[in-house]
Amino acid sequence: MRWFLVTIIACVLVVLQKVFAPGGLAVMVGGHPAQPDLLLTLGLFLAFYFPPREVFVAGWFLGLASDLVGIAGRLGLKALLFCLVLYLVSHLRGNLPRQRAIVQFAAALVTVFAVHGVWHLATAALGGAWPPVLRSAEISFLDALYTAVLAPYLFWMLLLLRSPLGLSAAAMGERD
Amino acid sequence: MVLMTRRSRRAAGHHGSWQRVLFAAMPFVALGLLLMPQGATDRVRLWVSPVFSPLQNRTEVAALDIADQMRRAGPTSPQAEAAAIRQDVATLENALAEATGLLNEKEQIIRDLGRLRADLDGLPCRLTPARLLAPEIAGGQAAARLSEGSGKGVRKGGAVIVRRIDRGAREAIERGEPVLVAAGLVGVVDEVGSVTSTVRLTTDPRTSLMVQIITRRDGQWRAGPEGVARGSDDGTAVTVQGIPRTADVAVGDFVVTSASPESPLPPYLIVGRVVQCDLKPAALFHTLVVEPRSSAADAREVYVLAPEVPSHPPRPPARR
Repeated sequence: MRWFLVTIIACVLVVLQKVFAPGGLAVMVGGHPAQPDLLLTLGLFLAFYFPPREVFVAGWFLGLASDLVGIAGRLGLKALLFCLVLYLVSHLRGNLPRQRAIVQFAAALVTVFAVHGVWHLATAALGGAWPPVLRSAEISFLDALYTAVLAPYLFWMLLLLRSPLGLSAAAMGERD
Repeated sequence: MVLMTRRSRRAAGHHGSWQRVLFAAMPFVALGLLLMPQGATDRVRLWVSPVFSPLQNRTEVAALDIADQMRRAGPTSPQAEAAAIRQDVATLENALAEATGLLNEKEQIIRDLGRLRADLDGLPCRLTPARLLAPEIAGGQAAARLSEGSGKGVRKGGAVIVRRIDRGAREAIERGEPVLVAAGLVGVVDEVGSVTSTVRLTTDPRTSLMVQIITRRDGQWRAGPEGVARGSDDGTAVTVQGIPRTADVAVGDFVVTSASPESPLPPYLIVGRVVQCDLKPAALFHTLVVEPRSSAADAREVYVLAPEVPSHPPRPPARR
């Protein structure tokens, strides 16, 4: 993995994330401004194509960046969730047809739903409140759906950078 | 060639071992960060915010423009455009009303500061304007506080006895400094954080003030007896004890902070007015119920009064 380029892409995505702020391109559904998680999508891309240990480290830093630019919750929670979930994805990817849009859609949906859901519940619990399970699930699903819709486009753009990122043909998966 | 290969293998080994160490340490570092107090987390976020905020703000403005264009893209007929313009006018009117409100608020602050400054003329002190924060602003921490109950500032029945202000050690706020509005004393600074502080209101049962009664009889103002004021048990009023039975005290008298040198607060800050004056037949002292002059529930803008010279001046550098 070319760490410098990944860092630059992550910085660009942190800035771009503001485009989806409430009032911008966030989609209001039931009082919740659904926003895609671009950093987690980048992490998912890395989990699809890079070795698990590198994905673990990258996921940790992406999660920490997401924690730092966020406005709520404790530091380190997303770092922990990102690295564990992305590490799991990088182990489970196996012979998935990773270049298919539907696979990218489904993977983003499940990953974002899992990470955001656990984050909402843990944040509520750490704040001393009773975790609102149904509301957390609803909010996480909306965010996950928005992210999943955008994920194939982001994957396509990131795949354009495959040579600068150091992606080999073997890593891309010959079967795809 | 052999040497090169050995070196590169050794380098690869080092690289691998570092990666293993990093791999093992990262979850523990994340857990350590997770256990950090919310205040420290907020401080780290404050430090980091200047890194991305300027670019993010510009991006957000552009996004708002794009969103506006997207929302307008639909209607093209004159009726629809007229409706859109009417909506814009309504939005701008709302913004104007909001700006007028803000302007009035700022003018009120200037008037209050001028009044307080005139009252404090000659005293070596400074007034720091501050804002009482809504409990929601502190996020998860507020949720924790609410759930913890009376020990953390929320009383049964809804009387709030502890509030938070948006000023802290960064503005040289110190523990024990009085918090005022133009009408009088609101409370005393209790805990000082780097960017926020906790204010114990005068109605808090833990607040204890040395006070003096000021009476007005036959058009004459007189300094009356001194006593000790504490917040009532239900957190809605202040009770004054230690006023001798023989003292001339009546409903409507003023209660101010004591001018005694033992009092930690500046003298003659208005605490409230007597609304109830109880005297049991066998009691040696009056028990007065005082209604605070300033309600922290209504107040938003407050002022922290501090001596001009901090109580802990910075130490001069040591000489060799």
